[in-house]
Amino acid sequence: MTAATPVVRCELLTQVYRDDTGNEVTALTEVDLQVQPGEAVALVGPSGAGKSTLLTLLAGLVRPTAGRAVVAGHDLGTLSERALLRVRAEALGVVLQTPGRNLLPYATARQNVAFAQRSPGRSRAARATEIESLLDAVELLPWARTPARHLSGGQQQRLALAVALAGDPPLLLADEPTSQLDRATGETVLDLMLAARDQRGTALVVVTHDREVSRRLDVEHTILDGRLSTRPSTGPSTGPSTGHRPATSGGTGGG
Amino acid sequence: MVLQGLWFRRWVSLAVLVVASLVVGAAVTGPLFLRAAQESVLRDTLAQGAPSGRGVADHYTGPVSDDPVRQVQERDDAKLAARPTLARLVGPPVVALQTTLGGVTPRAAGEGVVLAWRDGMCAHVRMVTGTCPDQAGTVMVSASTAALESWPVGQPLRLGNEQAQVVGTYVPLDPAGDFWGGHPYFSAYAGASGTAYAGPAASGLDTVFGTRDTVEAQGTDVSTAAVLDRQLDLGRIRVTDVAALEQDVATWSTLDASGVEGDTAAAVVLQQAEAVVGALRLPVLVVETQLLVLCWLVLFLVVANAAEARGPEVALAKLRGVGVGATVAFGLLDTLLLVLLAVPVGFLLAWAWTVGLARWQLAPGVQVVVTAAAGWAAAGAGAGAVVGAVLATSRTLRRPVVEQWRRATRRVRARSWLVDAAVAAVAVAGLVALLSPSAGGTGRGPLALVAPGLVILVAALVGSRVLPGLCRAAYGPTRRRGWVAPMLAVRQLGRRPSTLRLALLLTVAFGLVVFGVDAWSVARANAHDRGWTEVGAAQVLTVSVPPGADLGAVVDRIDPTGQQVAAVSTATDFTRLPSVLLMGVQRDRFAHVAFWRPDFGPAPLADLTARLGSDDAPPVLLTGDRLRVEVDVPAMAAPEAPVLVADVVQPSALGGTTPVVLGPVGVGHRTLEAELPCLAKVCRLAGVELQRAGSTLFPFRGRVVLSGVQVHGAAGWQDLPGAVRTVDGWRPVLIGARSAVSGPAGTVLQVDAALADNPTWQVADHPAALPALVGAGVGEQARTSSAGLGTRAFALDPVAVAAALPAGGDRGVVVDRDLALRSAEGSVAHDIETVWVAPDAVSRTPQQLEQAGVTVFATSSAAELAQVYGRQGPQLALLLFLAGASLAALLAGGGAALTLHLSGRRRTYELAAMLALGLRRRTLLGSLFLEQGVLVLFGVVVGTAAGLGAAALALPAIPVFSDAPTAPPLRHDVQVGPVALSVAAAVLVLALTVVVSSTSLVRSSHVDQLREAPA
Repeated sequence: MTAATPVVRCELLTQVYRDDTGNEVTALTEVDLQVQPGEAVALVGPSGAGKSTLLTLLAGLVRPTAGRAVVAGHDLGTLSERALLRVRAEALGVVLQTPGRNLLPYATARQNVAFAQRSPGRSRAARATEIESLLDAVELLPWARTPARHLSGGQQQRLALAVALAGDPPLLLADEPTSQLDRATGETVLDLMLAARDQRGTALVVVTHDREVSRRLDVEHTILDGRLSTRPSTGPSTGPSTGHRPATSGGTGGG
Repeated sequence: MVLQGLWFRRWVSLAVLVVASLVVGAAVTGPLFLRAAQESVLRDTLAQGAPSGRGVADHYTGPVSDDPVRQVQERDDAKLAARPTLARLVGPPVVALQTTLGGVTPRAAGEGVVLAWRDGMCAHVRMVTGTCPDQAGTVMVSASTAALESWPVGQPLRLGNEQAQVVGTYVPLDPAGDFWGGHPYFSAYAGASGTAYAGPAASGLDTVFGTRDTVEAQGTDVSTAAVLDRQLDLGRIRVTDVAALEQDVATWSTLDASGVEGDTAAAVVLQQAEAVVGALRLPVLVVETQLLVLCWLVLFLVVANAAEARGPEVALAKLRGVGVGATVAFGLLDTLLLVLLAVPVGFLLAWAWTVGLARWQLAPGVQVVVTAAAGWAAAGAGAGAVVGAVLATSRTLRRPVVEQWRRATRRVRARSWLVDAAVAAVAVAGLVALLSPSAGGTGRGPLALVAPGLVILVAALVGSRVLPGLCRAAYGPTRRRGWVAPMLAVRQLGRRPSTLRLALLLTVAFGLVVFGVDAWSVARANAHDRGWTEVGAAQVLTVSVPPGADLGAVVDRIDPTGQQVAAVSTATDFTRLPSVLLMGVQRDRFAHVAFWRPDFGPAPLADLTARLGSDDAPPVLLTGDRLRVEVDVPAMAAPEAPVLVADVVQPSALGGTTPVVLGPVGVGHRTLEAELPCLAKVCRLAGVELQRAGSTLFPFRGRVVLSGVQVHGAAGWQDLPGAVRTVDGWRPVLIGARSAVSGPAGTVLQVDAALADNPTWQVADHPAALPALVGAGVGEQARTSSAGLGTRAFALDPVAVAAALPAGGDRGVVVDRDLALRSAEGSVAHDIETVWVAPDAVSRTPQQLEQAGVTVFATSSAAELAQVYGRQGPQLALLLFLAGASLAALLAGGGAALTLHLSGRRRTYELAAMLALGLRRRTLLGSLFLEQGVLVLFGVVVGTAAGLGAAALALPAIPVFSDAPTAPPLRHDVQVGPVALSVAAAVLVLALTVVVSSTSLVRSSHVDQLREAPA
């Protein structure tokens, strides 16, 4: 992937599914989206608009009905299940809304991060160093040996972020990462995500209802009735990423 | 991390471990129990045989100079050395030497007296007087023989060529036991096959025992017989020994050049034992297979639910990009670890369970042996559990991540009705094949044990279709009436086919338990009734009564209440096919003591025995040394006057009546007098007859009037007016005796005897045909005629036919004891005297009898016999069925509890939503109670009904005994008590589970969970 290659490229992405009664429901209609390396993108919209559907498509958890979803150079719709697993292992980090869903409750913080380390060819020492580094980055090193279920909600979400960043993926997908946290804790988690963007060049795609969150990101895309519209973020601009992946002029990313 | 996960889900992990262990345990129990049960039936079969069937013997007959004892010992040792299995399993040898001597006593003039030495005999007799002989020239005689022959201690005897002295009198201990080897040493104490007491004309004297020197001192040329007996040690013999033992025993009975002849009936007994042992395999296999299938299904359900609980973790692994193989390992490893751990745990559980069962129900001393088959069963069950775990987990492993995140599960497609119809059709076809009478032998026997499972399965399948329909039908009514909790409950049940798997499982488990409880209870009841019917009462003592004593009088003395003890005289008529058991009972006592079931006869036993009496003339009892009869003969046409002879019955005599010759009865009045052998005892006048004085035959006719009878005793002459003046007190019995009419003037006997007739008249102190209760299996001829208690047959008048009679089964005949003894007129050669004892008197009666001078030499216990029947193969198979069904019910209950809990956890979002809508917690709790309660209740009701239905259909076809007894009638009625108790216990436990599960579920639901609603 070159500096000019978007981390995410959706072309006429369409998703239609059948509900329990057999009726067809169109969740996404011809969505075009690009996310540059190191770019932080917010997906906003009312409930049922299709935000989470787009996220699941980008994570390769469902196959698009039509169009393409290319993540880190992989056309997800054409990959086998095994290949999708490899993409998720190497190119994706996912943070879900519920802290408990991101973690193995009985495993320690260290073990949870290790569970997510899927990059091939790393030595044990390198893996251990990465775990230490990630936990330190999310300020959870003192709790490395604490089982995840014994951490607070905020700590669990920070740990989820560390787990998602294991293996240094180019793309981080987050579904309402701060909705179940109080304001201060949510700010902390968002700061950590943006720090990852800045320090690692990780692209962020964040689904959120929170305007305070979307304002801090580079670009805000609104999804209404399955269709995407884009406007630059109106909040304090954090500027384009100065991390490993410079911002590009793709899409309507602002700064 | 796997161990951390197991600990985190410790209750679920424990449930999986327990269920998997029980599956392995169920599999291993089969071979363990089979082997233990085989050992038990082997031991029982051998123990119930005669001593000759449990051992081997060698005989040598030859002169003393041959040293027969050494001959037989040497040959026996050599034979045993060539038969290692037999050598290992027999006990120490018992050697004996005997000879038969004539001229010892006139009583034994025909057959002689046996003089014997048996090694160790002193420890197997009870000395009544004196001591056991220990020197040459000393002997001991039985107490019976000593009384018959009037031989006191010190009596000199001429034994063949030698003099000997009686130094003691004995009673044999356990005459039918192993020590005596089944040899006919005893007449008076032979029990069922011999006489109870030797009488005046009998030659049945017991063996005279002396030392070996005493026997050999008879002379070097005297023929003797040496025997060496060896008995099998039942405690050492095992099922695996039977085949080799049969081979060793098969060649034992040969006569070789040494002159020693082998003898054994063990081959037949071992073949019988092998057949009984082998017959266990199929029923155990049939029962085990069904239970294993059920246990495996429970395991599948439990593991499937446990896997569902781990769904989020598996989804997380996929989300993190964990590879396929690693995800499968991640999802399966903990379950596989538990299953592997379950193998040794289950094995131990099975072993402990089988040991408990063995101690409770199998023959005492049976060990539970770990066999290779048990090991293979454990391994197989473990492998099966692994397969089950893999299959149960596969759905969770294959489910997409997005599906896993859904708050409410998609509607699961219900299983196709075609599957149910196909399964039901196969089940019904199988049932018809198994239970139809036209199926011949195919359906009967062990395969009938499949029938209950099929019945219950069909009922469960039908029921699990009906329940959703009923729930859907209740939608409208509950909604219209505004019953929120019931409405929620029926909707859940109506739309969730997955929970109906649970209902199906509970139904099958309940059904099997109910059937198992009922079948086992019925089997136990049948074993109880058969044991009690065959023995007759709680305890039956075979006794020997001193001469001159009447057992009935002894019983009346020791039990004044008349409700605890009864005397019964018995004799088996072997001339009939089948043989018939005659029982003369004390009719007023019998009904209180004997075992009876309402369906045995047309009326209660007390009513039936009341019909055995009759209005007869009182007996004419004679006690004295002389008899006088006043006779008037108005007419007698005969070349010479016939001689009047009185037939007198002495107490406990074997030889019939004693003739007392009174004298010729020519025309005119005469007073005839004769000696009477009844000074110190009570005799009975049986009747009179007219005989010809010499050997010349001639006819005669006339009339003889007996006008008076007197007896001379200690107080002088005593008149017996009733003897001749009781109306209908006499009757003619033999040809030539025309009539007998009694009145105030005496008894007029009309005679018209042809050339060889022997006119005889009988005192009518008993009916001509005895009223009798007859068993339904007694042949027509045997219902009206009995061989009697000795050589004198008597006629029977059946007053009722019974399906079964105590001790006689369907081949018994019951008459009044006093009437039977009078009819026998002293001929009681085949009479076995017994005392029947009620349960409350069992502990004290033997001592009371001994104190009264009655010797008890055999005891039969109904409870013990019932236990033996309860240990037969078919009963053990039903026991295994019950044990396994209980285990399966435990599993199903545990599985149900776990399923309710785990599935409930996945519904907390629904409950949270309903709370957000404003439903009160109390309403939600009520709906959960109803929902889970209906599910459990469905299982209970349908399962119980199916189990009882299966019992009604299948029990008559399932064998309860190894043989097919003709009596008592087998019972198949529902055993309400045990069934109700087990259902109540199960309902209580499940109700508790429902309450705990529902309460916990509602408590764990809260509105905040709805924050996780998707965008």
